[in-house]
Amino acid sequence: MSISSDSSRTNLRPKVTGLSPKEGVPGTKIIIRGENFGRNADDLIELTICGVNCLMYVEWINNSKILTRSGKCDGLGDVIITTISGGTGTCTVQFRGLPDIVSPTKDCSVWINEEDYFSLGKANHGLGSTTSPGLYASDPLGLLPEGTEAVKSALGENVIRQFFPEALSQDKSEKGFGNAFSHDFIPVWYLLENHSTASFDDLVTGLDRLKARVNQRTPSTSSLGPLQLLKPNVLAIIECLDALKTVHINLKKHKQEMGSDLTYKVEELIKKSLSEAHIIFDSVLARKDLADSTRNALNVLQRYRFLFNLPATIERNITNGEYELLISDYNRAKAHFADTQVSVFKRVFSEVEQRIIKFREKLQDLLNKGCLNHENRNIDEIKKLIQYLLSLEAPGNPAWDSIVKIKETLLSEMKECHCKYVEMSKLPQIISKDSPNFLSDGDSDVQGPPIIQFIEELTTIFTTSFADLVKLGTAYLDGDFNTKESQRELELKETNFNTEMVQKPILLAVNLIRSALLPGSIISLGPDYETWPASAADESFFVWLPRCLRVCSNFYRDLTRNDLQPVVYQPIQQLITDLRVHSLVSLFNQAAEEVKQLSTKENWEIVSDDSSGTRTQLPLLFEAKVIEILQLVRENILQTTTHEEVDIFSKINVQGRMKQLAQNLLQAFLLALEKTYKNPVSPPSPSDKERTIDEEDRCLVVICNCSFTTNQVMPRLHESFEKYNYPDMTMVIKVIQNKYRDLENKLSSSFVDNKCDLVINGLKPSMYTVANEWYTGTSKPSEVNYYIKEVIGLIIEVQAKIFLVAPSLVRKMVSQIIEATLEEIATLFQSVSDRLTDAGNIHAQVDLTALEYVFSDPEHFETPKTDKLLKMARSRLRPVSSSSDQKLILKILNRFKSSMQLQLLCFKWASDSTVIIV
Amino acid sequence: MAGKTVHHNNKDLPVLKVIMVGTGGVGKSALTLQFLYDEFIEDYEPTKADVYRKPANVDGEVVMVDILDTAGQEDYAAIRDNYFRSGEGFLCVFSILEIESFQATHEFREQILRVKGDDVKIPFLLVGNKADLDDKRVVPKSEAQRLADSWGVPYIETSAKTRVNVDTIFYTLMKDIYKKKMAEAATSNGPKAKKSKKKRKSKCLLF
Repeated sequence: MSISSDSSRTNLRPKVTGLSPKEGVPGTKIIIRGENFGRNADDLIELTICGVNCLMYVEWINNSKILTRSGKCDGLGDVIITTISGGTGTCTVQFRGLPDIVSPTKDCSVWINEEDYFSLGKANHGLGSTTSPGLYASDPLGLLPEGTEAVKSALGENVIRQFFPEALSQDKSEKGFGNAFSHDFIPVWYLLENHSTASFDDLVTGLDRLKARVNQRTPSTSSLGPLQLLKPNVLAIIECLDALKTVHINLKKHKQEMGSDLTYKVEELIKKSLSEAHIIFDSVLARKDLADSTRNALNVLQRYRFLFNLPATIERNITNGEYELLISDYNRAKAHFADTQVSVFKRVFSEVEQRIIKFREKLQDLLNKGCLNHENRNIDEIKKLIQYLLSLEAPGNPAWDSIVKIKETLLSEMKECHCKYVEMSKLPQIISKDSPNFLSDGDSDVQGPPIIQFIEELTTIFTTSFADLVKLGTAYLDGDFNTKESQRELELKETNFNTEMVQKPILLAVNLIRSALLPGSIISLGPDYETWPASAADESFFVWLPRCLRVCSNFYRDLTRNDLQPVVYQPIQQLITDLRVHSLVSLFNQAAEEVKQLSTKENWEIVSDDSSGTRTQLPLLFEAKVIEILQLVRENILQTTTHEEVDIFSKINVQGRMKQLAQNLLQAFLLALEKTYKNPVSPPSPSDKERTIDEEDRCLVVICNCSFTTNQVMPRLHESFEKYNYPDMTMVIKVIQNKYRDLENKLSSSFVDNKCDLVINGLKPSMYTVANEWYTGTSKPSEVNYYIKEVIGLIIEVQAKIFLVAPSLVRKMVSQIIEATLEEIATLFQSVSDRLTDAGNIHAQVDLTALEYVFSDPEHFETPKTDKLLKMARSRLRPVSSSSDQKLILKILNRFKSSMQLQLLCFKWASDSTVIIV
Repeated sequence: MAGKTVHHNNKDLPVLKVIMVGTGGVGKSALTLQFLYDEFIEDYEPTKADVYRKPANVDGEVVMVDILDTAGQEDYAAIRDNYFRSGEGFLCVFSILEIESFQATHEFREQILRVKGDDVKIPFLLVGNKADLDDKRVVPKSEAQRLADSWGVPYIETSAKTRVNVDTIFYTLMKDIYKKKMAEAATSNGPKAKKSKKKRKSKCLLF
């Protein structure tokens, strides 16, 4: 109490705050942590766990950590440390002692107190005490009065104990501290116990006395001789002799009992006990060994169960498809056991390796299948498989192999597709050839001819597989697969990839499409590829061209999503451009062909209106056809789908081609018109018509149509060309217009010639006979000559004919006919002028005046030429001088005027088109 | 005598019971010893069950922190239930170098919740230890964070060796436990707590 009450030491009071472990059987090694565990090992003077002193096991580490072992204790208890510097400490944690259950095979150390055994034997054998009272006097210091027994100190044992804290833990019954023969002899204790009252001087004297006695005795034994020794020790010597005698007697007795060799029986017994012990314990020990080895094996199994279970785990993971788990397991095992020297591990690991190899083969198989299966290829799955293979360190380069394989698959797929459809196109066509019209062919539901199917399938195959190829390739070149290739190798692979994997398939696809659609644009695909039969893309194929183009454009668009360098797509761009041009040419040619066929559509229904004159529906059909084709081509062929594509018209050769095509198309109608005139198709229902249309009528109609086409349709078409962004067609239109005019003129002059011949031939017999009779006769005229009236009649007939069909042409044509007629008459006058009699002269005067009256009227068909001809005729006549003759002429003319009034009116309306006479 | 008094004083302090969980060898003991004794042990000796109790200062209050360092080995799995029952807060430790230790945290979390009656608000920290060996890391930080987020617990990476975040995890957890304890005490002392709340409320209204 006095020790711990010092306040300065309170801060140094030991404190236990940690136990590791917090519970255990006796003998458990414990790490105690806390504070103030003493300045050094010696400072620590006590350690109790659950009240049991454990100081004997203590290993002092430092001020805050000591090691010890637990003693035999049961249940929760404090852990208390006492140091000299800090006193008795405290604890915040408690230790739980567990009962120690001893089993046959459990190691246990038993302390056998042999002292008890020997003391027992001593009593049995009746040997006397070996301690000599003389040698060990009760008062070695000689401080007590003679004859008195040592009196126990007044202090009492308990008080003395206070001075010896380390003795506190000792069993109280043991009193060894004051006993000089005890192991625990403590001199101070002895003094306190026996001489507590002695003064220091007495003690010094005692010490001297003790020293003297010790020194005296040692020399005395040597110098004084045996007698000197015997004298004080006679009692002890007698005791020894007695003992020797007893031993001798006993020995004799034993010899009698057991023969000469006394140890024989003991030896036998020991041997017997040894064999007995073996019998008893061998099996136990064997079992223990077995148990130990089993436990060891179990431990190994438990500790490395990961490895031992691995083959089964691999199987399970393969069936469950948990490849990632499998691979991580394998890598873990490999890291730990690949270089193992332990044979069992080696064996298990080799089994693991076997399975991994099989697994690798399976993966490779899956990968190959994945690469070859172009329809349901899952590129992510393939990437994963490749990753697995790489992480399993599969031989070769699975990633690159896959890329090559996908490419090969793609190429062979394309080839197969090509062959399949080439074969199909050789067979008789199952697909009905009912030509889809331009508008409905956009339906992709309609199954086209083999070529269309081929292109569609090819592009689909290519688009899907190529996307896979590019994805995988990009991943590879980006180093996603971590193939540990050098930069240089990767660069080599990249060029290889660009040429072999990207450009080659694209080129093949383009060439295959070209071979189908544009057979002339490539030389040959190679020996492995059959060429398409000529019938595959015959004339009727052109209707599918827009669809082809659309498929190709979509193909291009899909490919550009792959994000490759633009140069890669050039072949496709070129293909599309070529295809556009091809389609353009085909469609225009086809349209020209159709326009030519328009001649069959002529129904000769004449339409007439103020603005456009007389015509039939044909020019409008033509116009509609051209506009339709322009629109179709613009919408289907020229429409660019991507920004990269340029308008094909930006190329100068395409422009020239286009102009030529346009010219052909426009000119086609000219042919059609000519055809309608020359090879007429009978009108659909002639019975409906009031009158049939003869060749002359047709001629007139064609002339009108020509003129209409030139003047109305062509400018409108020119506008349409501009509207749909075609190249400038001004020159083309001009050329075409000229051609139409040529035709018009040709036809109209032939018509007029025809009519002139008709009129003049009809006139000639009467004219010449009458003229000869009358102009050379002597009788005076009574009326205007008959042929004049005939001329008028014939011209009226012609005029009526033209008017019926084409009123707009009347003036021009009739004038020409009149001119020709008058020329004929002028010739007549010239030929008769020198033979003219007086009466004939009057006759001629009358006739000429009548003609002048009819034709020199500006309201009629007077032209400069008619005027000139009439004047020329008049110059041939002699003027009439006699007034009676003049009166006669006047009289005849008046009669002529009144009788011909109706006929003359016919000419009048010609200049005044508001009057209509039928 | 004096020793007894100290003992008595310690007993009055509120005890915060922390339990270290996690598979073997992740560094539970290392974290504990580093926190309590600034000690880093290089040698590995599997723990059975260690107990530590020391005064600590949480939010200005002196408390006793009681740390139960449990065995990570599977051999001791059966006795964990008993330990967990007494725990008030858990540090679930895994090693960022070992994926299995990370995967095992699920099991510990489930066992704790089962023992603690599915109280998802039990103070709990997910601790990724051995952060000083970042170059050998196999558990991505993001993944651990995602797991912690899914549990609604904080995720902290520590190094028992360099003492990074060691104090943080313990003090964070201790604060959580302390707060939870106070809140529980408040609800059990219903009327008192209510009164003080009311007072505060009226004050607020005045403002």
